[in-house]
Amino acid sequence: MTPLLDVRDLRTHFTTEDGIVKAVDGVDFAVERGKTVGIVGESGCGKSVTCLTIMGLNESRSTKSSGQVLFDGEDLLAANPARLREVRGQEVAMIFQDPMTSLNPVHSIGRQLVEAVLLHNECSKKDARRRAVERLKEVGIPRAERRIDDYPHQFSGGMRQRVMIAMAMINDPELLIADEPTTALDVTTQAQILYLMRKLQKDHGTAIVMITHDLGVVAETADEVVVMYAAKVIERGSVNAIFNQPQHPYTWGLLGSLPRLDANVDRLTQIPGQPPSLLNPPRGCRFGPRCPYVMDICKEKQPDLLPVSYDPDHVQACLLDEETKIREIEKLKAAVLAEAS
Amino acid sequence: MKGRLWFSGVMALVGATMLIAATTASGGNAGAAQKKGGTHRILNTSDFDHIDTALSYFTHSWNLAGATQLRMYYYPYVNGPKSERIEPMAAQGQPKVSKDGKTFTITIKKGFKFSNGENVTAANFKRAFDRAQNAKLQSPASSFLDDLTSATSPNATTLVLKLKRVAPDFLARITMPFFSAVLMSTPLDTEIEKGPLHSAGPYYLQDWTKTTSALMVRNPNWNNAKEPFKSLGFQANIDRVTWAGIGGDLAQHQLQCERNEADACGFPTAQAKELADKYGINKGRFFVDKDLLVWRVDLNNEQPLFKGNPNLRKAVQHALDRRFMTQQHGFLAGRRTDQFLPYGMPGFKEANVYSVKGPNYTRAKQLAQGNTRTGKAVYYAFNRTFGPAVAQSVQFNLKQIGLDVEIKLFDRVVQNTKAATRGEAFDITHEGWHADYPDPSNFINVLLDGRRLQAENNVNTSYFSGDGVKDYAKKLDAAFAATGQKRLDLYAQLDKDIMANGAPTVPYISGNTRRFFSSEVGCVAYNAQVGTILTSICKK
Amino acid sequence: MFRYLVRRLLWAVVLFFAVTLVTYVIFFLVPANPARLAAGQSATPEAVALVEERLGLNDPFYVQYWGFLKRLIFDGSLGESFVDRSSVNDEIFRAAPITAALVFGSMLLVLAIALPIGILSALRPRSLLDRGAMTYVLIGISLPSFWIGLMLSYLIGFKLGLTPIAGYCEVVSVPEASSCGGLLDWSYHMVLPWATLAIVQAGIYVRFIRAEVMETMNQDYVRTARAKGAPERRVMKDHILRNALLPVVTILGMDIGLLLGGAIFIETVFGLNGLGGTAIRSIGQFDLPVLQGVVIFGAVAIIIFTLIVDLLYAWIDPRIRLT
Repeated sequence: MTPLLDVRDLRTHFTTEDGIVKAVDGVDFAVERGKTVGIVGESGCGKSVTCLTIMGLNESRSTKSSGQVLFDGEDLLAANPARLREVRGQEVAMIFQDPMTSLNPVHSIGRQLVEAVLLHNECSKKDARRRAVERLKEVGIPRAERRIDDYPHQFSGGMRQRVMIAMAMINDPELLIADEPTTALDVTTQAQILYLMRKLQKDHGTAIVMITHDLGVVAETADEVVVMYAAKVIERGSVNAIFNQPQHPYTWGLLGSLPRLDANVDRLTQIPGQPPSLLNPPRGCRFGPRCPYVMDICKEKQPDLLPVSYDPDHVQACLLDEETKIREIEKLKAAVLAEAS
Repeated sequence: MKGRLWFSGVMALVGATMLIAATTASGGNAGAAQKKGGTHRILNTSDFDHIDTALSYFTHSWNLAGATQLRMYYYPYVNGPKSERIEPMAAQGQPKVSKDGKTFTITIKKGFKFSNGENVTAANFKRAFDRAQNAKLQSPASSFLDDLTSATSPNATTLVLKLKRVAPDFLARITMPFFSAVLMSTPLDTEIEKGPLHSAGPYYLQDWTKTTSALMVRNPNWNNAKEPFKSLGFQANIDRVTWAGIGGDLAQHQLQCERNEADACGFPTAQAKELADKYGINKGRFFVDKDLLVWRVDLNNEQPLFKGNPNLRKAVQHALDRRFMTQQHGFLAGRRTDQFLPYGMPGFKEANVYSVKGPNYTRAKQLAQGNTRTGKAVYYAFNRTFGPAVAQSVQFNLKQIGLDVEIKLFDRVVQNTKAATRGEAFDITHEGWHADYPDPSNFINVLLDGRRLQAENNVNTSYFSGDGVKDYAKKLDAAFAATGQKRLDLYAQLDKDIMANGAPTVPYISGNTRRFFSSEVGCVAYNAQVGTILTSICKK
Repeated sequence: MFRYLVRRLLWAVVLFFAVTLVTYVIFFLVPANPARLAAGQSATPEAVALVEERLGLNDPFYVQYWGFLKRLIFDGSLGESFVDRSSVNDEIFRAAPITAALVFGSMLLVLAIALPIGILSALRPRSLLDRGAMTYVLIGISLPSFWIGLMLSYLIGFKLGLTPIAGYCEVVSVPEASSCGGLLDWSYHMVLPWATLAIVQAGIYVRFIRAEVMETMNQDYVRTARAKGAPERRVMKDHILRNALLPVVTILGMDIGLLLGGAIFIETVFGLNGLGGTAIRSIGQFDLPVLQGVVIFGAVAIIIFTLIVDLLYAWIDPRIRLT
């Protein structure tokens, strides 16, 4: 079956005063209908830009994107602006990290919800409003009929994110992109939101792309995982594969730095160093400078994303030999690995 | 009878038509042709102080009065010496003066009418006198009438004025607009503050919006074709005169007149030279005339420094730099002088008492030798225009002869008030005086008679009572009592005497009036008492 | 909302009293004898004393102030001019419309200039338009208003003769004495004064609007709106401008209040006998009641407009309304 979203060799370059920043430099992944893909990586690795590129939300003048973004077979990168506007909010929706700043503070949430409906549907304001109330109820806003006329600042953080989700889902999009939707929330609310999203996915059959730097979130929600580093995908596979058989030293680092409540850890394990500049990325493996296992060949050229022998859907970009990898996996598992669901 | 009458009527009509045609046909030649009609637009940065003739005193208020008011006597509206002798306006000839010189009987000509149609009688003039003396109205004219015992109008054409003592300047005093004919309905003790102000002159003030505008139009009852109007010869060329520009900027007004957006404007003093260069002097747009105005540096004769110290006062006369001080007033602002009377005053005689060139320190130091007493002087100066510069010049000059001058700067009104207070501790001050009428007594007696001094509001700001001048009071009274040429001669002598022997004050500039007009204005004439003659001005 | 309104009104009243008191104190301390001025140059000492009595200048300060306050509150009168005993109220109400015409007219012009330029500059930063606009802002803010006014008056009015050099024309109830009147004449004479004030003010507003729009453009909710598929025009209108221009309301209101006190330079240069011109004249004549009247009027204008702006802001920005 053709995937709902097929991203092929996506590159996004920004022209800035200091030069060209290659924020996304060769990203491939696919999203199946009704499934969740989690994109993980540290800040600045390009995961957000990837999704903004998919939506066409980058500033057009200073951005150059290449590659293909096939949504249901249609290349969104090649689409004209009118078509893109049709797609946004109706077939593909996006929610953002900070719900306080992502909602217009001077419009009531009702008005913003109705706007979302009326942009894509020829119905009366009354009908749109009715639908808005329904969706608010669906996402768990109490006394929705009254609260629909309230303003964003009258809601708590968790409530606002629910409103955002309701607004994104109001036209029943096939794909929902969520850019770190729980980062700004406390853990309890986080769990509620994730639960809500899973429920909505089940009820509506929506595919989700979940951007996060939090592996815990990934573990809970994702079917597929895409690990990004320095504008490139360095490992990709099912959530099981990534958590049980991680192949890339960066992924090991990510997994190793997961804090656990049940383990007695003195300090969180950090990955020492900084990601490379995206103005002038290094020639070889971009993780090389920080990698404890770096070899000479790593500095020569960028390793390709190659499938793991026993799992062709699992690809990774590290040249380390299999034995070393297996050893490291064992070490990790012994130390901190959580059970994958 | 009927036929002839009818015929004369037709002829009259034909004649009138021709007359109208002649007057309204505007000739192509602007040169000799003086057009009748049009509006003369005046721009002034300040408003009339009052329009009520009993109260108005500002120059431009008198300018208005000159065109609108009917007075018994006036200084004629022509340029030159003819304007220096009093002529009758509403009166029939010169007044009959009683043998003791204390009763004036004036006959009022019949036929003058107010702009609202009422006839002018002697009673209208009597009312003006009554208002002038009314305690509640507080007219400035009252100070000119302290020797008037009664004003009566026994019949419609006779006005009788009785004085306490002989006053040869009395006729000159009653030429002031205070004593113009007023409607009988004019309240005695309340000021008229709104137009229309009906009057009996060739024009009347139709409208006055305070601080905004004013409009003067023809008196419909003034008929130049008939007597008694005809022999006065007021051409009354212009139809209307408007005043505007209050609160505006002098430089802007000048530009407006240059562009013919207005007809008569003020201009910044500093622009005088440029205007003279551009338009010439008295050639059509920029006019300079002798004015009856003198600026002086007064020496306080009642304070310790200059009291009984004529030599030091004379030293100051030699030490001051009249050339520099005059320059501070601007281009063509006036002529340097060392005499008390202005150049334009009837009877003025050049006396050459001191030098009008630069300072003569040698002579000054000689006279100052041993007389500088404390060596310190306090100078009250006003803080705008030429006040500070003149003060500094005086300070510099006097330093050379051993006097340390401390300059105190004040707002003009404050400075004037302080200097006018008897006993105020200043030694030098800076004042100017413009004649109310062209008689030398208005300068010398008003400004230098020590007997008139009071506690406050003095105009004799040198507080001079004749120190250094022999028989001063006698000479003052003699000159005042004289008439005709003798009067003028005595005053000329007194002028010289005061300056040479008493030297109470240092006059340095005898002022000019400088006026600027648009290119549309013609028939410009000037009278020192009322300013530009609006009854003869015309549009080209 | 109601409580907010009540609170603001009370505060405005307190401010008003404070202003009148300070004004009165200042004028009380001025070193000039108003009675002398009122009585006139050649008044006798008795006349001056009479005037002093009539004006109540011999009473102690608090008696005079209380008299002034009483007259102001109960009679609504600002007193009488020292110069001609005319009503100060009349003078203020004559002059105020002129100043108001100047201020409101030029503010419209300012907005007409500053809104498009400010917004466009923000949308195209560092473009030629943007750089040009910022240069203009620098010039407009730096040049003194009277210089601009004089230059315009001289170059356009005098040299080119395209507009009148100076002067004011009434729109309605044109006095007979005027050489001009009616709507056309009035606006023709106001062109340069409006332009002068606008040039100065527009600089401030262009800069401000540009900054606000630029900041708003980068807000997350703008991105959300686009993510919902809103066309750019809608994003611009409902999301960017709706939010960016809120603070402009505050500034605009305060500015108008301030300027209503009398744009003195511009009024003098162009011979507009508004509150500014009246103030200058009354200073020269030591006509304290008139000057006081103008100051109080100006202060009241500021108070009122600040209040209006506060209330307006509370109405259009829900975040403020509900706190």
